[in-house]
Amino acid sequence: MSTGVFDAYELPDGVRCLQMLNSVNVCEGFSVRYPSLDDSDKDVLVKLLIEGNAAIKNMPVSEIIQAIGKVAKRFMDKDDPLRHEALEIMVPTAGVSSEMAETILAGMSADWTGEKLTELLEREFASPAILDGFQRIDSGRSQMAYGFTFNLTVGSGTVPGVGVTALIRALLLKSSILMKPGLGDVALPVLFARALREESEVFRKCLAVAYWDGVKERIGDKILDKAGVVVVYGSQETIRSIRNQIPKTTDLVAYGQRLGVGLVGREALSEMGALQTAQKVAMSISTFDQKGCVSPQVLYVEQGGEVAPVDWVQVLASAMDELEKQLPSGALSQQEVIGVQQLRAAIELKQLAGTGVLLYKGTHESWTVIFDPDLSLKWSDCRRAVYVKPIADLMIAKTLLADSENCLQTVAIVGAVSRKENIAASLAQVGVTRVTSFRQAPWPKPWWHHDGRSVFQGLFKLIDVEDIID
Amino acid sequence: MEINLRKKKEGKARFFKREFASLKMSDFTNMATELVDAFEEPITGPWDDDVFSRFAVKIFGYQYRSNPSYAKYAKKRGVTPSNIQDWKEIPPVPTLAFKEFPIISGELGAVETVFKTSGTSRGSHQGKHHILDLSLYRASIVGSMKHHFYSEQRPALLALVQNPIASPFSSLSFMLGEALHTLSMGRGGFYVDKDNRIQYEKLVSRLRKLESSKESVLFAGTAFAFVHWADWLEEKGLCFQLPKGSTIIETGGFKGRSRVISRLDLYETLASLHHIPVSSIVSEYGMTEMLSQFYEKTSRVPQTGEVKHLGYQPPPWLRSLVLDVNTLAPLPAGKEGVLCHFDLANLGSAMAILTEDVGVAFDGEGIRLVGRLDGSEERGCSLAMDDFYSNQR
Repeated sequence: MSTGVFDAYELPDGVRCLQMLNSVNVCEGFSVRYPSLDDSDKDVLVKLLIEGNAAIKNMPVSEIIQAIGKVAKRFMDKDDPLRHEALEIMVPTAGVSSEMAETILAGMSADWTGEKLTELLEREFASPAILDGFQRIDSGRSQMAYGFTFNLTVGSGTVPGVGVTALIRALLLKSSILMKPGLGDVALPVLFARALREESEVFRKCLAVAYWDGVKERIGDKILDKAGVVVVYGSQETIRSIRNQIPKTTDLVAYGQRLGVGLVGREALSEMGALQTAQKVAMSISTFDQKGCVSPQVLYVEQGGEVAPVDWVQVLASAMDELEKQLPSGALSQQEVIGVQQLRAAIELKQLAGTGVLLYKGTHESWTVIFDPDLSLKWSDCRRAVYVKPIADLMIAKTLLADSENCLQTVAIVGAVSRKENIAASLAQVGVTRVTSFRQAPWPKPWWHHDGRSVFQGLFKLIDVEDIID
Repeated sequence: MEINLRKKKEGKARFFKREFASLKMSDFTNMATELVDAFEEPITGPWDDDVFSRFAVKIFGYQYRSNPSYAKYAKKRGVTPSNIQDWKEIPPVPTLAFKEFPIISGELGAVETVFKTSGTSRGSHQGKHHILDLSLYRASIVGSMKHHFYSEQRPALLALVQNPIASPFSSLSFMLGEALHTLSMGRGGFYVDKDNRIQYEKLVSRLRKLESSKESVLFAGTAFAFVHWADWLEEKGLCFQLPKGSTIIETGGFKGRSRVISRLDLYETLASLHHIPVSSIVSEYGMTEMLSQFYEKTSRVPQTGEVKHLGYQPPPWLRSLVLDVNTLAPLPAGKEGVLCHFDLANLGSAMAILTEDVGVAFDGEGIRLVGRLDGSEERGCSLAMDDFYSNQR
């Protein structure tokens, strides 16, 4: 178990609020310290970020990409002390194992490289130069894209690295940003910001990362009133609470909690292929310890393959167990242990009631697989816990998911190659926005349409200059 | 058969032998009657351990015989009616089980009503508590509330929840409906409409009438309903001078959930807006899965002005154990662990309930809720703010 303290803030030069530091224990022996920002501190912070925006607005986007890309490479460099520090801090703050921290950092930082960011901008804008100045776009117009002067982003802290991705998006659009990460994702945004400040003076002016306990302390009008856009990742409660606090004219980009679904087609359940299928599914479930919005939490497994769903679930349980050895789950909080005990005891009782339910579980509270012939939608918010439900045809999934329209997003699928588009079309009717493989499910591309939105949607504006015809 | 509430001079072994020889599933009605009689006795303090244990063990025997899956569950844990010695050995049913399938000790066809949890916190599904005999719930509500709020007076009851007709699956609405009908003799009412909106003007008018007639009030509602109420009063610049003897009952709503206002701040605000001492605000802790409730008083430390919560007190027919989170072994007083409640009123479902709540037991009676530890942010779909505003149970 790591011991120590992590200072979860990186503020622009000129903010003098560090006399007061609060602290929260994230696990035994490790605490996260964060500044106590009063109204006048917040006022100064926002003023500095707004004043500092001119610096990044004048920086060519290629230079921004270059600076970010350099930091990304540092996170990928096995000899770089920044990478070591990131891994060390991620374990206690995100509650993941060191193996998982490495997996996450490798997966995330690969998407922050200069090459990937250039590709992202090229995919989203006809020409990334549109972010540097007016570009002729047709015979009657020139056009420029500009980000808001001040972007406030509130992270959820469930998946480490998501905060950095949000921060990069704001910087690519030349917005100043205040990022308040969730407690589980403090390490990477803070270290990223720290490293970026070393790359250029510009980032010392337009970039702030600060954790604080959002339950005890509101963001406050001093910040909310000045934000051009507010980006929120989190529960409906958090989103609603922030929506109610911001001025009606301020744009809100919200990413709510989602239910991840997996579909296993009968083609993937051949005697030869069932184990490989189970391994892919187990990896998809276990990545991020299943905390991502993209992580499958309920599986629908098609009948009619060589291996019946009720038998395949045992193969899946073995794969979960094997994976636990290679990629162990993180230390659980007291509340999470209670949650796993509740789940397992409840399912055990249900099993004893002769409902056809089967319970498979790992040692301690590491993983839980539940085979449940009752097709009503159920999922657990415990880590690495999945409900497996047998269905006659994958097309039925749409009907079974109908009541969850507002919280669906990613559906991972294996088998059913020739039926994939028909199934996807049916899932679109219930709000699904991404159908992918189990392998890719945890690792969406940088240009993925999160909740069906394009990457920069809501974060920038376009200005058209029309040719003057008198 | 009658069990005196005070210690009975009878050997344990003889007692068990006699009890289980005659136990049948059809004993439900007799046992329910016996429990109702016991709940109706004026509360003078906790029952002796032997008395509680006799009831609890007898109920365990009944639930073992009338709920086959629970019997297998208990047997797997090595506990059967023939070897049980003490109520603390009774295997608890997790609250999550109520979300998975019906927990019924008796006949499904005999279910009188079903109470549902608001239920989006763990999976999309609602928890359901099937009630075989509402008279047990009624007796538990009345016995407890009479002791805490009606011993010296008969206040009017104003409820900041929907009425039981608009919200038939809410155990909280039922509870306050029962208190209004039986204890306040119909004086009072419900002030949240079917669309979950507080009926502010009606409530103000009713409170003003009670203010002028100097009739004491029992004003009960969820914590978040009170947050909305307090916000509205502050916005309108209104406040009240509730008559002497009035009490506010806050019926949970903070437990383990993220919030933007502390319980103490809410209490201070409510005390000031209604011109009552903070010590006249009582917190209730209950859950859909349990037919009895705890109540917690508050006091202000004279020297420091600090507000202290005095611990949740159970009625005599409800006991708790604090269990080690990892091993589920009982912990001594003062140690923090997961709460397990043994509610005799749950005759028709599961008497022993393993909760997700973390707490500490006091040396004597009562528990303190601790809630979530630092750093354990809520995962999964959370209840929306406005869901607090509606009935939680």
